[in-house]
Amino acid sequence: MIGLAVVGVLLLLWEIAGRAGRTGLFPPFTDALAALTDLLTWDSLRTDVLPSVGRALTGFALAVLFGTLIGVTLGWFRRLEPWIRPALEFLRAVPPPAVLPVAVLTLGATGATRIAVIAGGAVWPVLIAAHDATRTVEPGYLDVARVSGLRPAAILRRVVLPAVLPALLAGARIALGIALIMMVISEMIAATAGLGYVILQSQRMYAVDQMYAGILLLGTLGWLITALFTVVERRLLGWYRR
Amino acid sequence: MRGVTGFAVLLLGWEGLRMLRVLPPTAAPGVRDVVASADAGLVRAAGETLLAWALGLALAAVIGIGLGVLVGLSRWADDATRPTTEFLRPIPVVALIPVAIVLIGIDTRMQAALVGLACLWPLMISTRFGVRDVDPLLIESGRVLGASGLRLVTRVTWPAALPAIRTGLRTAASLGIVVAIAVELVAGSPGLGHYIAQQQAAGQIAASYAGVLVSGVLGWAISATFRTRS
Repeated sequence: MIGLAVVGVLLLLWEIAGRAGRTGLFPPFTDALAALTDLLTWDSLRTDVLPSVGRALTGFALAVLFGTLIGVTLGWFRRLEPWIRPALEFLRAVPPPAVLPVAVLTLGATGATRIAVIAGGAVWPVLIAAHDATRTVEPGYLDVARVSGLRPAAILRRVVLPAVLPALLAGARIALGIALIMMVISEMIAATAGLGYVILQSQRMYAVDQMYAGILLLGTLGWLITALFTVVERRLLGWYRR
Repeated sequence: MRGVTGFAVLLLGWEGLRMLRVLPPTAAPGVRDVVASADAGLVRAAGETLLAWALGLALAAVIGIGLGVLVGLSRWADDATRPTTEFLRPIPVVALIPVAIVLIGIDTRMQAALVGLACLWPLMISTRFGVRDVDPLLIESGRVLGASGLRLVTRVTWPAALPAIRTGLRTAASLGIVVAIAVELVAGSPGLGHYIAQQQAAGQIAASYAGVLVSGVLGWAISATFRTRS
């Protein structure tokens, strides 16, 4: 209750500060809210908001898929570790936004490029988590599975995957944050549509109300997607005691 | 040594893909050209990025750890700030670049503010977790031995929460460099992101790849530094 009261007070302060300011750079909250209804029309949802969300989620899904596949594969061959680890650590450390101009140049300013950049940035936390977790699966479990006559495919599915899942989801949570960052930033470079584009363009045209509306919408979407992820995580990890 | 082999395979693979024309030679320069294109401007850009990163991280460390200790110790403060932080946290900080340009202007201060905001959440959350997770037995022992108030916090709670705070610092440090470069890319404030975009726009592809490489080295050095210290 008190938390919501604090939110109310902050919004009220925003409103008062916006009305008191004369610069026009900091509009009252209600103006931003009014501008938000413009963003929520079917036209803008269809051209800007939904494609953005779609790209972020597609990129994130690809990142989780490939991160898991590559990470588990590399982790399965434990001897590879000292050879590939330093190179992986370096690739992981490259800040994803730095790759964006180069990617746009090489692949073109298309939706597919943006998805690729989102996936390429978000794949690392998943890949590293999958690699680490697979590498450190309790050897006893694997021995028991082998002695019980399980085939490698069955060992992967029934022993390795459950053992890796908690770490994988922790990595995926970080990846989700990166995917959202990359979604916004990829729409601010050489783009003509998308939520990031709308926010940047509103600033350039001094449509400040609309800029804040875009951020409010983005915050809400980010909150929703994170909440959804938490639900999925709880379902998948119901068996895993923390 | 074996790690170096891994890198060598990576570079050879790159050159091989170029030779096979899988990577277009115009858009993917050779390793030698990339290394040769490094100049003073690149070093300066790296310095500017590091400065913005360090300022932002320092800002976030002071505020984030302070807030984290506060909400970790006081349930009341935690309840009061929870919904606000829960809403603010998922907003990708890069969305606030236009706001920061309008309110602060395009310079290192603006960049530091955004880096700071991005780093604030991991620091605050892991500090809160660390403070809350301190073994109650330690606190009780401290009390029995006559510590209370500020002394109890600095002598018992703080050291016990330190590992969690370091974890937060590590996450924040890596995130900070990502945000710093993203801001430079979009806003054009000085630094590596700006350097990469500029060289790419000028057709100096090798130089823009050199910029990507140097940002990788920075990112790697930062994560290595914060790993060994914890």
